Amino acid sequence: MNALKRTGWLPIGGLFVVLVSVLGFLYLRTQSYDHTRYFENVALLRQLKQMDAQWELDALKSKSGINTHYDPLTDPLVSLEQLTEQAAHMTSAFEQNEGNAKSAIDAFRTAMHSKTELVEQFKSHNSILRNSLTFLPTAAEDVQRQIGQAALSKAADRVALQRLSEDINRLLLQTLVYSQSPSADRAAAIQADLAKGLDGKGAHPVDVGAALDIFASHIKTVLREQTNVAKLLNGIAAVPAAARIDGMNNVLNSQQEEATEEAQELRRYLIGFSAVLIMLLGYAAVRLARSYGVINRMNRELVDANEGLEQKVEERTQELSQALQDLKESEAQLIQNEKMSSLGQMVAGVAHEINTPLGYVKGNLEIVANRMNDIANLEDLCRSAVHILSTRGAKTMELQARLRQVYDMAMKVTEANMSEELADLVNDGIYGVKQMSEIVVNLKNFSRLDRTAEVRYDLHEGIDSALVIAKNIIKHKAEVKKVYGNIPGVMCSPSQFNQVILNLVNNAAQAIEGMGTITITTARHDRERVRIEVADTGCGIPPEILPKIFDPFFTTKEIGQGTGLGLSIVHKIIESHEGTIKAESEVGKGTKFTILLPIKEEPKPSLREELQNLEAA
Amino acid sequence: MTAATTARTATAPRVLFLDDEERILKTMKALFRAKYDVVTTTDGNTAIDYLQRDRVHLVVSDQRMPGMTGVEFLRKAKDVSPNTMRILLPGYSDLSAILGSINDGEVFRFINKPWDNQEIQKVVGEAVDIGLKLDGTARPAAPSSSEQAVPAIDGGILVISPHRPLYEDVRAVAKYSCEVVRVLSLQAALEALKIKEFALVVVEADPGAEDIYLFLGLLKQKYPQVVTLLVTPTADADTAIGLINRAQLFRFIVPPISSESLKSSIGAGVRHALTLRAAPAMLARHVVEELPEVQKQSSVMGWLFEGLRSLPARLAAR
Repeated sequence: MNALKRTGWLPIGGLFVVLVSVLGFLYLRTQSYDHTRYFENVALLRQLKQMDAQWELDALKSKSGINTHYDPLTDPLVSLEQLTEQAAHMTSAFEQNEGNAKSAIDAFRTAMHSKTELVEQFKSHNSILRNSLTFLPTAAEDVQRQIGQAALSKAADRVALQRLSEDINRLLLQTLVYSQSPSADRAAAIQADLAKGLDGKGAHPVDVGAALDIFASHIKTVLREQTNVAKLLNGIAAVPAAARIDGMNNVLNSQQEEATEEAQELRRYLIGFSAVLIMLLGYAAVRLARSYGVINRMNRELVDANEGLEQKVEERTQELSQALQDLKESEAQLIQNEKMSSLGQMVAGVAHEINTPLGYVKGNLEIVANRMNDIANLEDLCRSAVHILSTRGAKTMELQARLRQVYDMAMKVTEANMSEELADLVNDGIYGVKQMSEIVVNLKNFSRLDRTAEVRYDLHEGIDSALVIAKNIIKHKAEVKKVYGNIPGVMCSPSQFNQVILNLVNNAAQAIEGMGTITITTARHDRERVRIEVADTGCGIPPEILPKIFDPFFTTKEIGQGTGLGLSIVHKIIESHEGTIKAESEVGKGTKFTILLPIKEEPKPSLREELQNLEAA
Repeated sequence: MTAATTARTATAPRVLFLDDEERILKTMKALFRAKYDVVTTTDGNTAIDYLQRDRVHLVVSDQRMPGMTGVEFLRKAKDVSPNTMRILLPGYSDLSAILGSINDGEVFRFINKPWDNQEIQKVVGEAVDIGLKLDGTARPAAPSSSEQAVPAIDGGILVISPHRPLYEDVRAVAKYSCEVVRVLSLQAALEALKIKEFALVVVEADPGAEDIYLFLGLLKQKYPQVVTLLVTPTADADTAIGLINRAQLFRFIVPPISSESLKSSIGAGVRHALTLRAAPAMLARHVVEELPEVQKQSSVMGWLFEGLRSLPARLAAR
């Protein structure tokens, strides 16, 4: 489930990345058009236009001579050039309709170029015009002065000279007027006057003629340049700079409009997209809230579970300790059962062992008691026969009859071989009683209730008594071979040692099918230890269970047949005596248990005890 | 002593004693040689050989012996010489041995060691008398264990049990060969017995049901030809000994019972009942001991005595 959730996050993450990218893209697109640039450009164009207008005005001023110098005309030129270059860079601002913008700008630049050229020409022509106009009065004065001098020196044609002077003044006036408000009529008039004035030149002194020429050339220059300047001014005015600027402006405006429209469209998209995003966010929020709810609930449950867990752990601990307690009790119970069951077995065996001699002892005694009647009768008869014999005057018949009775009775006893039989029965009875007392002695030896502590014990005695106890179990199963070595007394608890031997012998008997042999061997193992071996010719123990046989509760018997404690108790007893026990077995051949027991030093008798011993000796 | 030794002429009834303790055999010889032809041996196989060769009226066997147990010996003796009476003389009453001797050995009596001479003489006397009666009667066909089907018999089977499953089981086992009647209590059983004679009575008893043990004894006294089976979960040695000595119980069944073993028990019971009817002399085998006076006078069980006493005497009619 977790894996599913984790993989479920992958497409969601992807979707998120895509959405954010789209959002970023749209945002960038709305931001890509720079409005400030547009306004800057518009301002630039306006400035250009204004400057252009000023320029034209300045040109006009220069022409009319209001402006005596050309700075106003040339100054804007630099600014205009710069602004034009700036305007030319506007192309970068145009993205969609670059072509339009470029052509507009190119047109503007051409216009500006031609205008600049015209202005340059105007400047030169105008300067010539200005120059001539400036020098015209001086030239007129020169002519007048020559005229004056000529009139003084030579009395030549004063009238002509007078007329000439008048013509000169008129020409000067006319030319000045013309320069202020030129017209074709005035030019023609001037031309005519000039031609008239010059006609008489030959007649005039040389100096006058020279001055007149200068004057005339100036007038001519004025006339010519005036026309040129006017033409240039017209040309300048005709250059469509403003229109081009307007064109650029138009392009800019349309660009702006387009950009605005596009921006609006993008905004709509953005709004739509944002709406979608908001919906998605809302959905995610709902999901999140729900998840949070789930997490909260689970958390609560976890907390509850945790609290429950503690309680459960406590309960379980209690249960476990209870179970442990029960186990201990049942273990104790089992050990008790084992004791009781071996006790029961022992009682059954001992009862059988005692009941058998008891049976024939009792039977024999009853038979003897019965036979004693016959013997008592015989005795009575004998006595009465003797009495008859000893009685004086006894009748022979009576005596004979009595003697026959005695004879018959004696014959009966003899025939029955009674005395021999009685002796036999009594001997058997004595034997039975001996057997019974032997059993009782062995029982006492075996339990050794009077000796629980460790004493120096003759192990052979212990083995013998255990064999007597187990006789009933063994006798039909095995022949017991005792191979007793020369071993010293061993410090041990006699009852426990006997129990060990009984257990091993019992096991050996149970392992034997049919008749077998149980061999009990004792020997001095080394300086400190004696060795006791109990070997049988039974079915043996399979190697896989051999290591387990000393484990408590291990049993191969059916349930209820044995507690599996016998050998574990044996092991425990041997361990408590600081001895060792091991088992070797071969399936089908038999099993051998080997016990090594330390002989142990007897605790040294105290001085007082030694003294007592000495006294006793 | 492995060879069977005889101690008297062949004219006297012959009794065989089997015990691994020779002194017991010596005592027995001393006790019985005056009246019987006493044969003794310490070995079961020798005893079986003897039974196959010679006529023996009674065998008395110890239980715990090397090589062959008493129960084993009695079972074999039953097979090789069915007319020979069988008594077990165990040194210690161990339950499995007693149940085995009932169910397998079909033993006549138990006598525990140490015995009382008078008592053993009496029981042996009774057994020998019956053995003499049986001697010469046709040897009933030995029931073979392979004979599975329960044969048909008049009278059918009475099941006395408060629990239904036993009845169902018995009916299933008897199939349609025998009628099976079930009653819940002893009172009802008495009523049923008044009306008709049953060949087989199967009783289920709860632990310590003294009245049922008593009933079985009284029933056998009244109708020795009725074969009885007891189903009880708890058996103790003394109860079992009492039931064989006083009620000649045919089978002592301890649950759980497999349907196979129930079938073989019921089948054997029916066959036994058929044999008894065919050879009335065999009935003597089933003579039971008189009840102890104390039990007879027990007022609690009075109704049982009265009830059984008032039952019609059917054997006389035969």
